[in-house]
Amino acid sequence: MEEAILSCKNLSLKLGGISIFENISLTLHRGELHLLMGENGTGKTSLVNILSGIYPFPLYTGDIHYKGHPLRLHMPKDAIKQHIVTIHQDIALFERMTIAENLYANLPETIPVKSTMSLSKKIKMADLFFHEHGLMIDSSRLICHCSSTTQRTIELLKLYLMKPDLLILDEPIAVINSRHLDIFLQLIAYLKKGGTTILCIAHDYQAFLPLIDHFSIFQGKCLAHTINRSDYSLENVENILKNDFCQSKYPKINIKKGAEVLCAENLCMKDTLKDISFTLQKGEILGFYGRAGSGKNALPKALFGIEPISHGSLYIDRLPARIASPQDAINLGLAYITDERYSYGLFHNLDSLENVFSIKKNRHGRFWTRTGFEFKQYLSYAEKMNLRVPPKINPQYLSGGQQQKLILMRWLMSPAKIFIFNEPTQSLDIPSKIDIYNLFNDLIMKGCSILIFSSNLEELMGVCDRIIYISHGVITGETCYGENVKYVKNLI
Amino acid sequence: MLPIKRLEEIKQVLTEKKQADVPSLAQLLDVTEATIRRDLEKLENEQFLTRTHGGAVLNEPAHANISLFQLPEEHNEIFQNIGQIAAQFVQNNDVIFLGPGISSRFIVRQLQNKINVTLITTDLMVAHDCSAYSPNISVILTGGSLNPTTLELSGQMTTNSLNNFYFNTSFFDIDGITFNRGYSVSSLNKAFLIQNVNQISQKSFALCPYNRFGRESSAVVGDINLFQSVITNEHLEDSFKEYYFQQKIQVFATFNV
Repeated sequence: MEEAILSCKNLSLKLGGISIFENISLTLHRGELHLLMGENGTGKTSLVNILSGIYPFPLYTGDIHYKGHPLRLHMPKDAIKQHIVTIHQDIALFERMTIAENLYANLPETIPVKSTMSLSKKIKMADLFFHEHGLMIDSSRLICHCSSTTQRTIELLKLYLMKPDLLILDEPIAVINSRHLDIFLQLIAYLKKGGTTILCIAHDYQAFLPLIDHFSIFQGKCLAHTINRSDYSLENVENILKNDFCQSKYPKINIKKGAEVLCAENLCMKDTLKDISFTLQKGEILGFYGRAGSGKNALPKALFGIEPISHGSLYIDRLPARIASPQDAINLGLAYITDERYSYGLFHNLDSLENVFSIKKNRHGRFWTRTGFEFKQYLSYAEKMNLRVPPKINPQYLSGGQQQKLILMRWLMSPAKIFIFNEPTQSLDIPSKIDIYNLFNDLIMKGCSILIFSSNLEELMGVCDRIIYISHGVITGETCYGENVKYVKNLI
Repeated sequence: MLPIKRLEEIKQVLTEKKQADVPSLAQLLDVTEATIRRDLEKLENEQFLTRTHGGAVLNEPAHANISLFQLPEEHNEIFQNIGQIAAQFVQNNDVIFLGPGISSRFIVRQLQNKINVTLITTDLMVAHDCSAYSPNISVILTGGSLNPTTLELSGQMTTNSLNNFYFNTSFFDIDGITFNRGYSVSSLNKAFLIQNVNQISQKSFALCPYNRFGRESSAVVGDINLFQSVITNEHLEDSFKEYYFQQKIQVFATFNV
């Protein structure tokens, strides 16, 4: 317990000229569970990326000592060689391989399972392995056919085989259900007993509170506090977290709400959403808060007709609406600004101008011609949106903020009245964020309504009139602007 | 139609069109041309107009009075957008203060729908625009000595009468903002006024078009963290946006797409 396995001193990271965090010092002892907390965007995941070799050595400044020697990782494989294993926020398995193959892939060299072993033998061994842990998993299935809960469980079970010295978990239980949570807790207890040090990032830490030895709290680019288990009290931690919560810095205007423009009744989607009902008024900003896997990503897609709704009804302007495809949604005046801006929001083979006019083309069904009128319109919108992007440039060269504005511009030119944003400010720099918030204001002043789906609670509390909380596919609560932060925390 | 009523009508037509001819006035008011000529003669005696062959022209002095209150043409759109956002923060039943400056004149143009709002100002032009565009607002002017070029009130009397109020919301037109010197305005009187009113206001807003950021004016109002909210427009420099956000200060950038 006393022996320090990893110590970081004055760690600083700058990416693209923006400082991610500054002067972080952190010490981990052998066999402890260290919990890392803090709001989104304070640099927790970046720290994980350094310790797992994703951000290689010269990118950051400062010293890391691991087992008494300086640690310099140049790629993720180096970390595995040093018995540092990371479970990332997003699942990292080979989708087109079987469960068994995934289980025995990328193991450290000390473990006597050869990657050249035949598939049938791997499946046999894997079945035996799952049986040992009391699980009924068919290990010959492909990963892409498993639910995200099973995928995460497989990632976690793999740790039994790897026996890491340092384990880093980034939101490990955000996507798993309660039955698999037990497996996770058993795993943590088992690994701790074996002397593994665990660094864990989790918002929802209540589940494994008894196992935690230290808390560290990130606050505004620095590691603000480290608390011992013995000094811990719920209020203590809540207070520290609450201080960082600031609603008033978000530019929000209050305008008079109008008639109901969108109403959803008992929306269901096969095993991801259940009984979702809500209404949206004209000029209202309605937020949806949920973690990854809570159904927060599925709902906007269902509303926009990207994924099918299995049950339930939708009303737009009090008329029943059937949305079977995005084209239906566009015709009904909906706009969807995706979180996966680059992969789904923009056409890579078209330049900025063509991207902006890509809906118009569909609506009029005419052949693509670049008229002077469109050129002029693009330039005038770009000027008004403070977007300095020439119309000829390919969107792949644009920053996140510029891409987001480009997608938004496309919808602003259409007659859309209901804007659905999924993670509107994810990975944007601060000036772009401020522009996006103010564009929300402009939209509602023009009589539009906005739905925001986000996992950034502070931001939602700053800009939304109402927030609906989703967890495991169902609505768990609702708050209005300005309601007590502590009350909100209890709801989550 | 009574003769007095007819004279009123003719006055109105002339104020709008600056000139009028006898036949069209006769047709408009449904009387003979001779009657109109007599009316015009009466109005000429009042020195309201000058008769010409076949009609009348509005006298210039009245016209010149209006021009003092006319707005400069430049940047109108920027101020209009700022005024529109600022007007959103005026609630019914509020007591508000509008500092001297062009931004304030654009705020009062957006207040037609507010109920029972009391406006206190030291700028005669703001008061004029308010009665012209939003007559539903009750306007209170402070006392004080008048600056003949800017039509702003200042001095001990101004301070004394302002101290009688507590404002729900105050808006200040700021002339320059830099990181080093903070907020500054063009005269010492104005700076003193803003400091004073800021202390007796529940919520204060700094109004500042983007091109005044990074510029300094002669009199310092206070450092850059003085106001909790800033209303500007979309072309604000990134360094200011970033600074304000980190300092937890609201920045409204008026997009109007």
